[in-house]
Amino acid sequence: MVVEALLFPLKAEKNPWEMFFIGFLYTSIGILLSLWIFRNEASLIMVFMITMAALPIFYNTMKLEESKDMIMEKETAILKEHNKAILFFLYMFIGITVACAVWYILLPTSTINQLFDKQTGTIQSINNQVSGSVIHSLDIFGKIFFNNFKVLAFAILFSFIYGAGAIFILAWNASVIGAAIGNFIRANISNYTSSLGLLEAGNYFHVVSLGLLKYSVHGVPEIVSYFYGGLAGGILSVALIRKHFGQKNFQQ
Amino acid sequence: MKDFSELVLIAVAFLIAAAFLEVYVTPVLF
Repeated sequence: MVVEALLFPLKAEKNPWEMFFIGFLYTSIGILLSLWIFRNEASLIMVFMITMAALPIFYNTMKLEESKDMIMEKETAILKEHNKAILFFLYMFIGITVACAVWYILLPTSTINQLFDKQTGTIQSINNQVSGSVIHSLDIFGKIFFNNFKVLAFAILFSFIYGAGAIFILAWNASVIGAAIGNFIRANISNYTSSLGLLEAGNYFHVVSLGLLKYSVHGVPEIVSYFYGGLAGGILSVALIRKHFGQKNFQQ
Repeated sequence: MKDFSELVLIAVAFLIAAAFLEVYVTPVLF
């Protein structure tokens, strides 16, 4: 069933939740291989491994979505069809994020320092930017928006150049968010392990839900935005390759 | 082409929503 979903995005769109497990599997394999072969550069190699594994399903989806553009006439119906692809990308993204968070919690500290080295550096620089400057919230809003807009532009560009290049940006973001969530949970677990008692399990789960919610409030719409951007760039790329770009159906 | 610009517009709308949540909603909730 999983292999079928890999090859046929049409089937994957019918059961989008399966992509969660595929994302989890890709990430686990990516982490294992990067630690095994390229231990010193594992933090970036892991992202490349995930990208490499996810490329076939992403590119096949771009081709499928582009063909829908050519067949279907009604604009609302086309967008509704695209939303199916967005949903299954989102499940895959969640799978990658959860896998990163789980491995961050489970692996020993020395391994984590190597595996999430670049991700930890990125999180620290983001935190420094936010806490280091006391400016108006409107300025922060503009700063955050334009920073994210830059990422969106890259997602469109990557997808346009490589067909499904946005998966690299998405895998990277998923690994950063996963590391942030994993770090938050791990730090709290270490605090709670010092206090013994029946409340321990309750406290543990409380920390998990809070950690996920804190990052998902703005993280979900941000990631959905990159998916839409990636899909837009991918459709344009496939249309150019298939020489559909000048045709009437595509221009509409 | 119209579809491409529509998808990009949706993406930008989601980005504005994300920035708004990050700046104004998350600090209130957490």
